Amino acid sequence: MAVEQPARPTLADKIYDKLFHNYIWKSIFRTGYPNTPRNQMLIVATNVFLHLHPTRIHRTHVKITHTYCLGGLSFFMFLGLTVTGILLMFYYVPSVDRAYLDIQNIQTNVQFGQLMRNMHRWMAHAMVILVFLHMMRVFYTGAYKPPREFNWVVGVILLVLTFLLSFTGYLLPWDQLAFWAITVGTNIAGSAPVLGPKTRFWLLGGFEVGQESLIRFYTLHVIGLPLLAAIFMAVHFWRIRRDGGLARPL
Amino acid sequence: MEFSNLPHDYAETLELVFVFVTIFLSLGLMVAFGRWWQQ
Repeated sequence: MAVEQPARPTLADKIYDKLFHNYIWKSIFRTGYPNTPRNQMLIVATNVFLHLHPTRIHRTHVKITHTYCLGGLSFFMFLGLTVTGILLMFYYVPSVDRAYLDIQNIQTNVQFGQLMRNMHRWMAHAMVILVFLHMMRVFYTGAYKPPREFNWVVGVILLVLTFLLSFTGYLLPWDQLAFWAITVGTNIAGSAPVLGPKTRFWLLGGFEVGQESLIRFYTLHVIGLPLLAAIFMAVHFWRIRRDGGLARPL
Repeated sequence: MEFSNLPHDYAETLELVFVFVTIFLSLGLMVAFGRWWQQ
């Protein structure tokens, strides 16, 4: 009597299996296609676009001390920085001949200019501090553990982007402090083995801090990095819900 | 580079007061809007 053998997996099956049935893929895409009524209802009930606030939360999440709202406050700082940054862009030209004078102009002539610049500066400081505190909270409450490991990685990318935003904004006033801070900062990057000098050249657009560096830092500061940060933030927020809401004590 | 440092310490107390009042005011407005939105 012949016993029916299961079909041997083909090469295509093996590749499919390697690509989609692994730890990394499953940490990013939790569920497969919603092919049962229960899964279809879950998709609607947990959809972040349909329900900005979760339909139900654990009682430990009601207390503000659970998260101290640090992530939300970081996002608020980002929004404030966007608004004040756009207003500052109206008056600032990233040219070595004009940058310094434009900032002085903002401080002295522009209506509410000084307030806008100071807001931008203090909110930038606050954002770095809040993002760091947020990371500490996530770490000490163990909220980075599975199933939230993918969101932790997104968070680390956001932390680096926040630092880069802060760093690129530092050059823009084009005064002594800015010039030397960026000289030192890029020299540190340049001291890395093998790729160091190339990285320094790539950052500065030349061998020393000059017009090319200013326009490079400006472009990264006002469009490149904020756009990247906004995309990663969208993934970060959406991901909280996908991973089952805030972490809670077991 | 011959430009001297722009003021970075903002020692003027009034300036700081304005900055922080504006930051907290806008935060308050956002929170108030959020509460209204959730009703």
